[in-house]
Amino acid sequence: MRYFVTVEDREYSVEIDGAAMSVDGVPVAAELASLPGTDRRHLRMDDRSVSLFGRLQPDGWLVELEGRGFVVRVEDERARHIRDLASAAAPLETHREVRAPMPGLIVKVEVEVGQEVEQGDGLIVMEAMKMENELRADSSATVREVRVEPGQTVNRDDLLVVLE
Amino acid sequence: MFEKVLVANRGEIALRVVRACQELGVTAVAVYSEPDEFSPHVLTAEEAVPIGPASAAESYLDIDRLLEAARSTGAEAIHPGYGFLAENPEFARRVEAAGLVFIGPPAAAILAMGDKTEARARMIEASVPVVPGSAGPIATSEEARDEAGRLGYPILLKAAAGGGGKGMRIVESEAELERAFEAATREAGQAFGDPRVYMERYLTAPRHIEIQVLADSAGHTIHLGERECSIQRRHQKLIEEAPSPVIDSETRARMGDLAVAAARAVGYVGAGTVEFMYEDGEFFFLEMNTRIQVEHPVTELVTGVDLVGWQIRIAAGDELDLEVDPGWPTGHSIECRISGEDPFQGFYPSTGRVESLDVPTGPGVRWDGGIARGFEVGLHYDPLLAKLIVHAPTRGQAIVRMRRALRELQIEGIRTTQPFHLAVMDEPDFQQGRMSIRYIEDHPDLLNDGAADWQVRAATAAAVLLEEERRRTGASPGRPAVQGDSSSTSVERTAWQRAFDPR
Repeated sequence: MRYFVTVEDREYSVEIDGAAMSVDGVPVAAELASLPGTDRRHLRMDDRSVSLFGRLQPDGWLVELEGRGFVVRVEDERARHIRDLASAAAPLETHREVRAPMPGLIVKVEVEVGQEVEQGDGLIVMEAMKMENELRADSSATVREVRVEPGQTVNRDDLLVVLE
Repeated sequence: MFEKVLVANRGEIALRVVRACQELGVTAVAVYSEPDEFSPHVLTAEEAVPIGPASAAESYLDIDRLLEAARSTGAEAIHPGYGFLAENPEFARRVEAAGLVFIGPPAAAILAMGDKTEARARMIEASVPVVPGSAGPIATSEEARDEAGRLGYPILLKAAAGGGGKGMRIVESEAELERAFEAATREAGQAFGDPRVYMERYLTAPRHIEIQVLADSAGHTIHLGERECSIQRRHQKLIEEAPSPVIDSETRARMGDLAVAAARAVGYVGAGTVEFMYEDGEFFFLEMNTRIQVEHPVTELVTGVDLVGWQIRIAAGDELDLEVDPGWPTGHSIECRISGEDPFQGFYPSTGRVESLDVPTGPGVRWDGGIARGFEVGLHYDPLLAKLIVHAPTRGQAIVRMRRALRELQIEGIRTTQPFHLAVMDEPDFQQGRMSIRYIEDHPDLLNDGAADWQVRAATAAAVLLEEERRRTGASPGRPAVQGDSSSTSVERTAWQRAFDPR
C-alpha cells in the first residue's frame, strides 16, 4: 500500500509492501514496535534506534521524538484520490484568518474593520505568561472582521481577525 | 536551626528548598494552589497546605494566606524561592512582623536593589561601574526622547521595579521610541504593579556574567565566582554555565571583590547575585538579584557549596565558615532550562498534559524538576518546568555530557526547549565559547539543521502506525484491504514487547 505522508509542508510517499518499505522510492529498513497500553514506540530505521511517541489525534498522528513534535497526516492512495476530486470542485479562498498562536489575553486591537494594512503592520497585541507578543499582517490586505476586544482571553487557534 | 520551614513557592524551586530542608533535618511545609496538588514539591514535603485557586494573586502571591499557613503549621521561617514574593520587601516585612524569619536579605536591601534606579545610584557611590543611562525613572515619552538623544541609540528601556525581561524594550531609533515607551510602561505596571521605567545605553554584543555572593549576619561576605548566562532569548536565560570560558582568575577576583562591595553597600545578608554585562574586557553592573537564582546549581556543582542550605543556615544565625578551596572552581557545569515553550514556534508557550516523562540519569547529571507524569502545564505560572544540569572535568566534556543527557530526556505531551538545547550543544560557536547575549539572533538556523532527518523518521513512523492501525481494526467497508498478512508486515513483536505482553 502506498501512503502519502505530510509532515509540516513536506510530503513523502511511503510504500509498504509486506516486509519491504520505501520512502520516496528509496528502500529503507524500518521496524516499529509498540509498548502495549502506551503511546511509546521504538523505531529502528537504517540502523538508528529511536524512541518515540505516537498518538492518533483528530488532525493526524502526533509523533514526538527527541523533543520534536510533528503532526503527521497520512492518507492512502484511495483517500488521496477522493480528496483531489473534492478540492478541484471547491472555490479558491480569498480571505485569510488570523488565529491565536497560543492561549492568552488580548491586550490591544490595533486595527478596525475596513482598514487597509501593509505587510508587517501590527494587528493584535497578545499577552501570555506576562510577555506581550504582537501579531502582524503577513502581506497587505483589508481588515474584514475583528472578532476580539481588549481584555478578552482566547484559546489557541481562536479566530482573531479576518483579512481579505 | 529551625524545626519547621514553610516554602512559599511552587515547581522546581519549591522542591529544591524542600530537599535542602530535609538534608538539614528541618520539617518542610509546602503550599499549593488547586492545580498543583500533585506536584512533586507537595508530595515530597512532610506537610502541605492548600492556599487557594490557580490564580497566583489568590494563592502564591497572597501574603495573608501564606502567613496563615505558617501560623497554622507552626513554621518558624519562610523561604520565598524565586519569583512571586521573593523580591517583595513588603512580604519580607510582614513575615518579620508576624514573628517569623524571612529566609532572604533584610527588607531594606531588597528595596534598595529592587528599585533599579536607586541601585544604580548606590553602585556609583560604591565605585562599582554601571552602564551609562538615565539618572532616574523617566516620566514621559518627551523626556525619553531627550534622554535617548543624549545617550545615543540603540537604548534599552527597563522597568524600575523589575527584572526577568518584563517591561523591557530595545529601541533602535527615535521612530520606535514612543510606542516602546508605552508598551514597557504597560508591561511593567502589569508585572510589578509599578509602571516606572528607566533607560540605559544598549551594549551591542555583551556577555552576561554574574557573581554569586553569600553574606551572614555577622558581617562575613564572600563570593563564589561567576556564572555565564549569555544564551538568552528576550532577556530570559536559557543556558547557564560555570565557570565562564572568558573569565581568568585575575578578572574573577576583580569582579568578585566588586560584587562583595555591592552587597556590602546595601547591608546584604543571605545568598544574592550581582549581574554584570561584560564586553571586551570591560564590565558594568547590571542589577543585583536579592534571592536564590534559577541557575544556582551550576555554582553548587563547581564549588561543592549547598547554596540553598546556606540560605537557611544563615537565616537561622549560623556564621559562614566556608574555606574557599584554592583549586576552585572544580571542573565545569552547564544548566539547560527545560521550559514549556516551543522553540519551533517562536518559543510560544506550549500547554498540555505531561503524558510521559523519562528523566536523564547517569554520571554527572542532576535533574531539578517540578513536573511529573500526569501534570497539567497551564498558563497560570512561569513556563520553567525543570532544569537539567551536568558537571564534568572540562567544558568540552560537560557539553558532550549535556548532549547525552538531553537525548535521554523524554517528555511526551508538551513541547519544550529540549531540541533547542540539543542544537546549541552541537553548534561550533557555543562549543568554542564564542557567545554574547545576541547568540540566538546570530544563529537563526540553529533549529533547521538536521530537521529533515527527523521529518523522515516521523513520516515513516506515521505510515507504519496507520498500516498497523488498519491491520488491527481490519479493512472497513469501502476502504481498500491491507496488503499482506500480519506476519509479513514490517512491524514485528520485539523481545521488549513480548516481555510486557506475553502471548
